Amino acid sequence: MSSQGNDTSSANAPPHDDRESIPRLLITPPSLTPTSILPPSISQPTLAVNLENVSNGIIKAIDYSNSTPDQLLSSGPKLSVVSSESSEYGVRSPISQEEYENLTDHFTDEYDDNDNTEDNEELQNLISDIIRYEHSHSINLDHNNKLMSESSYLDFNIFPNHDSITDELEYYNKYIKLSKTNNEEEFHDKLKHFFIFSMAGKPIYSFNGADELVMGYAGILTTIISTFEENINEEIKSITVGDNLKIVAINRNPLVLVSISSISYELMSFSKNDVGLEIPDDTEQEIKDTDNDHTLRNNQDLILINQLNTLYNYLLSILSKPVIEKNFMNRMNYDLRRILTSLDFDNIDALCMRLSYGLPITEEIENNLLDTSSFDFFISELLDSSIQSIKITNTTRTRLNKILLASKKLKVKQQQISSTETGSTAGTISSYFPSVGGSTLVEEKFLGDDLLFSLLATSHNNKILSYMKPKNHSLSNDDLKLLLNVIHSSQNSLDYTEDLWIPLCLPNFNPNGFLYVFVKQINLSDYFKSGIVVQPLTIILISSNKNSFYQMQEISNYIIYMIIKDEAVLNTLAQELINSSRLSIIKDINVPSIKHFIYKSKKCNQFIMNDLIHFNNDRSMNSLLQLVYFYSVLHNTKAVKIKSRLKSTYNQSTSSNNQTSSSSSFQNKKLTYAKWTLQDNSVTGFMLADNEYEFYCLSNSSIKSNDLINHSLKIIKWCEKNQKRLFFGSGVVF
Amino acid sequence: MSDATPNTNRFAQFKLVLLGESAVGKSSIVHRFVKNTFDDMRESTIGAAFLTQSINLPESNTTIKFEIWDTAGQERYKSLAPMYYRNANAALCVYDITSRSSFNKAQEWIKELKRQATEGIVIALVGNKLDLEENREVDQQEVEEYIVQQSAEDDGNQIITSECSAKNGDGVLDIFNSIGRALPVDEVINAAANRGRPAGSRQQGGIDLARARRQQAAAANSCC
Repeated sequence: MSSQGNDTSSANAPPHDDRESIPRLLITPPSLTPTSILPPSISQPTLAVNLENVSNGIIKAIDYSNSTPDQLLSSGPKLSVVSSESSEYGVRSPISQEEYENLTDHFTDEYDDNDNTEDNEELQNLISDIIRYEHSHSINLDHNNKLMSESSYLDFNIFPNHDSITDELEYYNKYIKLSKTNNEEEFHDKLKHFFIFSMAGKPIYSFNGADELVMGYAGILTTIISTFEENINEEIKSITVGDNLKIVAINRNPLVLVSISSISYELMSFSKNDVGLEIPDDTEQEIKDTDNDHTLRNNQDLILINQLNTLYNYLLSILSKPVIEKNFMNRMNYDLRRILTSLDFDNIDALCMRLSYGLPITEEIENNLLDTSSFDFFISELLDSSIQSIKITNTTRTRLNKILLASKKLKVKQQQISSTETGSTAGTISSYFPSVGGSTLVEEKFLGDDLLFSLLATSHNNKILSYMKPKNHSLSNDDLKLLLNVIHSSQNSLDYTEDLWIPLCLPNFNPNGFLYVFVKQINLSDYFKSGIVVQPLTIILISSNKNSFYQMQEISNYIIYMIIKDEAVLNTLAQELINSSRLSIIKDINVPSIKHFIYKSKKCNQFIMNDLIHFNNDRSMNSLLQLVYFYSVLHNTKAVKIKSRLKSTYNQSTSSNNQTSSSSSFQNKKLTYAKWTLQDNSVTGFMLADNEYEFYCLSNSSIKSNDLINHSLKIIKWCEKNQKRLFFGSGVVF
Repeated sequence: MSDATPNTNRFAQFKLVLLGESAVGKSSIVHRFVKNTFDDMRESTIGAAFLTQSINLPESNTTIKFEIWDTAGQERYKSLAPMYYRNANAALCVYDITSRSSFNKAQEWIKELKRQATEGIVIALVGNKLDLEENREVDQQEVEEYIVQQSAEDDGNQIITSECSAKNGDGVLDIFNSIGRALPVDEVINAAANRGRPAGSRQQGGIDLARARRQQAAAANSCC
């Protein structure tokens, strides 16, 4: 159809005129709205906008007039974005890659040196235009907004559904649920596969399928990979089969990890810009010009590559690099499973499920998932390994930080008698048992000499309250995530009677050696006569010395003592933990029209979100899968940096209260607006980001544009105001 | 765990380590002993877990507190084992009565303990999963023969043998009671008393973080 020509021509037209007016929509051709080509019961392709174009007064909706409905159906509701320089869908869209590049080059050249700034009002104008457009063009909006809980994840075509299953559980059992049987048909039904095998083709792990079944595939895949390596001298990265299947491999000699996916949101591509990597403006242009094709391909596979790296990191964390290499050095066909335990396989299963769907591994998927840590994990992974925080007051956090710091500085007075014994400290902590000691003291020593990192976290969902690190080292978010994951898996049955001592390799810290992790849980409820139930805390002490268990144990005793010794302090902590165990959008921020949000602070790469119960009034698998999909789309949809600043263009914006904001923080502002429409229901998604934060939220379609913006900004403001309460930041340094 | 004076109730503390092949039920035995619980789905231990539990020996009016190291059975943690048994006063070498290989592994541990551990360490050879009698692979007679052969070496190490079921609890407490009786309680208490500090007393001000180490030291010293 003619959309291609029109889009291009309007884009190429000098945008100066448009800038003088309020941004308006140029939809070409207006009659060809997405709704007009889709069966009404199918979710409608979403319109998303990126600000670069918008700032020039051009919003282009990509229509599917030259795709067949079949194509559309096959990969779910296609969210298309005009600016999809790296978007798979964009490439297939009416705008060709080349044209697109011309287009963006043009815009950036034109506006780079304009001194503009954005503000709410402008955002509001943008969104209201988009929404007005939607209202005037779509048939089913605003008629009856049923509760979202009545919609099923299957309605959104997140997953291919060839046999049109309408029962959520039936679909889950057939296509999603883990299956280790030898049934070939069952195996092929699954939407997601993970394999780990050795370079020699020996299977080590498979997400689905029994050994006998996997053996053959492992052989084929290793053959393909090694053929590429030997003959073309190039590492194979990914194979795309048609539109709906992708195979991605990473080679971590002597191991190969492969993922096969036909999940729509995993086949999306996303750009480096979107994951918070800072690229200086001028170099970005270069990348676009010279390296575009290459980056494009890499980015398209990034979601799956990241997943495989997470699995590989798990193996490193329990085995360390040298152990893996040494075993294979001796024998190429070594069976790595010999040194893995059933717990490891369970953990990898759980990781795969979390990475792909945000779901826990359970025999029966319950309607109400009390443990949403799998969803937390998914979002963390999606947001570039961002760590989820828990809200406590800055006073309390500072107090806890101080306790950790003080515990590091504890001195022990070594007694003569202990010198005959190696490895354990016979001594007393002088700082809080001053009377103990006597005359046999010989030397003073720091108890925590080997202590590198200390963490206080909540036990149920492993959210960090307080963190201590050395001046010159820190743990990467990937390492922290790995650590919390291993601890979570090893404290299945909540247990206050045991202290754990876990050798763990943190690959980003040092892939070649182990650290030793002391883990102890404190049941705060035990210290209340009143019978208050507080979620337990976990003390995590990371030492560089494998013989330092007793020292760590004493440090942990000190930490507990310090936490419980002052009743007022303990009460405050308990109360705050109770209040913040699940963040409520209504109670805490009072923005009821927004059902769910995520706020990520880019500076510390930590995020916070509200309890998922507010989205659908439940914590069901159905709601969870919808959230996983919506946020994946919002996140992975390409939104290019805005180079133009609009302050000078729009006079009305000067009246806004935001004008004093530093222009630098607005420099990279971008937004994505998305809408998923069913016949009788719809969901609105909104993403707003700048240098400081990424904000994502979901609401139902009845929300007015003003409210969407105002409420989003209200949440953002609330998060900014509560920064110190919401995030533990970089922790306390010794 | 109330405070006590040496006259009415004696108190001693000992370090105990569990060793044995993966999945023989070391953690299950410990949890039966410490918490009187059993979890069929128990996951394998990563690294090691540290627990404590006390028993009373009425005949000698003694409370014995065990500091227990429950170690992971996997091969990949083997290099860490010495740090757990190095100062141990007692060791449980656990095997699964339905698995011959686990019995062989337990014998290897005994060998290693005799070579490397503190002299005089009390060793218990424990067959777990007695509830799976129908699948038994290791006969009691076989165990006896092994013990006879071991005592012929006359190296001063005594080996207690026992069978138990962590699942239904049979025999678990008996093992720890036998170990408690075999431990050099008097020596430890006397050694502590000679240093002018009653073995069973606690420091004022709450947690006594030092006692564990002191008593190990005492225990270790008393033997050499």
